Amino acid sequence: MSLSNTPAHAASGHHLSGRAALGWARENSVYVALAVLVIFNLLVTPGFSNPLAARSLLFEAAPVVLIALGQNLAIATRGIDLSVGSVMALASASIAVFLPYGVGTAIVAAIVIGLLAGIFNGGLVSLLKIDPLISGLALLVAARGLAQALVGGSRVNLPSSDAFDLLGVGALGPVPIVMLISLALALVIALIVRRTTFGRYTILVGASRGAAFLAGIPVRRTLFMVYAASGLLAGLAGVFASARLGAADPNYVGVNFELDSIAASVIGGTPLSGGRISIVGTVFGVLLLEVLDASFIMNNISFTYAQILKAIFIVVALYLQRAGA
Amino acid sequence: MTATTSTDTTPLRQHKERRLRIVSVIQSRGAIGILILVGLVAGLIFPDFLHAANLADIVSAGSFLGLIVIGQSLVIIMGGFDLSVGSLVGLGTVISAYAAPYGWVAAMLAPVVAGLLIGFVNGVLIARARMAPFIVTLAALLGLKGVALVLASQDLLIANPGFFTIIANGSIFGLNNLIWILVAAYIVGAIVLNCTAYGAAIFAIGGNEEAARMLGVRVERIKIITYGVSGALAGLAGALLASHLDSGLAAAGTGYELQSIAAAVIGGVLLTGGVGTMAGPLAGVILLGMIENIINQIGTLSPYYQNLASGAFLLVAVIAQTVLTSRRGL
Repeated sequence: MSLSNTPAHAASGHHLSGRAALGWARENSVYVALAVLVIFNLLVTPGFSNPLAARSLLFEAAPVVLIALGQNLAIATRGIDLSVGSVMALASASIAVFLPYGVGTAIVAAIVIGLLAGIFNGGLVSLLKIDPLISGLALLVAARGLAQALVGGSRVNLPSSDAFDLLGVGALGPVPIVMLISLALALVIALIVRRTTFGRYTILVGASRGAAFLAGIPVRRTLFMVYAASGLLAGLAGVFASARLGAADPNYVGVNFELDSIAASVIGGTPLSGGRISIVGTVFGVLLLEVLDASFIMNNISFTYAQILKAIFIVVALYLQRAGA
Repeated sequence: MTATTSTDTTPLRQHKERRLRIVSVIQSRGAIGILILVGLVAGLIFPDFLHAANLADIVSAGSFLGLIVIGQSLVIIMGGFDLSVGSLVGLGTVISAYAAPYGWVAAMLAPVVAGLLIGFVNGVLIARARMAPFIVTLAALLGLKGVALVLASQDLLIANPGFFTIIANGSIFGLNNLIWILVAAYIVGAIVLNCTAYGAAIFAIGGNEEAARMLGVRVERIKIITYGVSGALAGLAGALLASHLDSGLAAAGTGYELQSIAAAVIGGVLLTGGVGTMAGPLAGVILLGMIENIINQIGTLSPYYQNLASGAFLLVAVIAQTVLTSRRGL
């Protein structure tokens, strides 16, 4: 993808520095943007320097990091997983359904249901060869409907218990437990992508499906596992979000999260054209989006402006990627 | 697509060709058959279902989605995607409410023009800047919803509605105006798609963009126009919805982007581009409306099952299409 531009442009030095600057901006835009935004907020936003604000921000970011990880895997295979937000809602509703059998069972059941949704999606994509955009779309609509039907469309408050407290408010110093879990999983996924054959397969399937098939790479199995993993992570994210909320709420949990996860991936440097993955960038992409939200909310500016700005960020990030391709 | 020359007239070949033709008909016209089937079965179970009033309700309630589906189908046949339409409907109702004091013409036209311009922007980013349609229109979905909410943080009641609200609520010859508008729009859509150079260009681009370019089709221009048309139709749906509801609602149209894709796909438009009709997607729209109506008729089912049913329907349609397409050897 980025192999094509060396000899032709080496001739003109001026041109090269312009290109290099663009390339640098492209590679590091997420860190630059995050740094600028944080400094701006520290100067302007009242209460932003308060550690409690940072902690609350990290609580919000934890589930988004999880689903962005799954989204990254899907995007790396040149696919997409639109179902993640609704699968979170389904997991959240499952907690309410399985609560009579104990808190531990409910949490495990929610994660398993997320995995099952992922397996279903993976089956559609890999076995039936359905465009992931469409299978995800169908699941996005259907899973939220199922979640709402399961709990009658209303919020179910969770009883206070050690497990929910640990996930909902527990923190190790300034960092929430859920964020630590998310970062640990990010590390695991980064290692899987770099060090295992499955990780290699994921990248190669995205770089060129045809070539991967001819090279004997198990394309179907790889796709299946990618979407199953994304479902599993979305299930866990649903548990995190519900614990934070103190309720199972199929109308609220995970709404628009598929967009946030895609935005974080794109901003973080995972191109939608597949074949590349940037876990660290994505984690920072999530933080950037969360700081963006927070800076609007904390300045009492309508949240909707954040949404407009997010949309502009996505387009700009994509334009930079495209310009470098 | 069927590049076989028919010099070979053995019975086997004839049989094969007949089967291909049947598969092709099922693929493009299946939705109409399913529509009739679902209608008849529902009519047997619920005596009120097939009453003219109920059927008219289904169609007029589906007319907003129906208008969007025309644009969405054109875009998908061209090999693209437009996720911005749902937010554009909401924005359209808001713009319409703002324009209403300047008369009904302004209230009808302003959202259409706004939708057209926004569609052009989508089209330029997709065709000229070569960005993925999916992500451009996704960003537009987010951004436009934001703009609509900024413009109208709460419902904007149209203070002095007058003629404007009659447009979507009145009726001619006993049928709601919305039905007439929908039928007229689909007739125009079918003529544009099947009988004009522009329609042929859409099929050509969806079939093979490079080949279309080599044949002299002005790919970029056609793409920009088509996204513009999709935006304008979403704006029109917004204007009619504002007229129907007598107010501007930023949240209106939420989920229409998905439903419009579902209706197009159920109606036999192939997501890979290059294949599609206008009648099929219309059947898809009415089918989705019927499902909603049936779930309401059952009564004991919570309305949440409607999402489940729409999603399931979309999946079944796509699976059926995938199977049929592989049979056809496309």
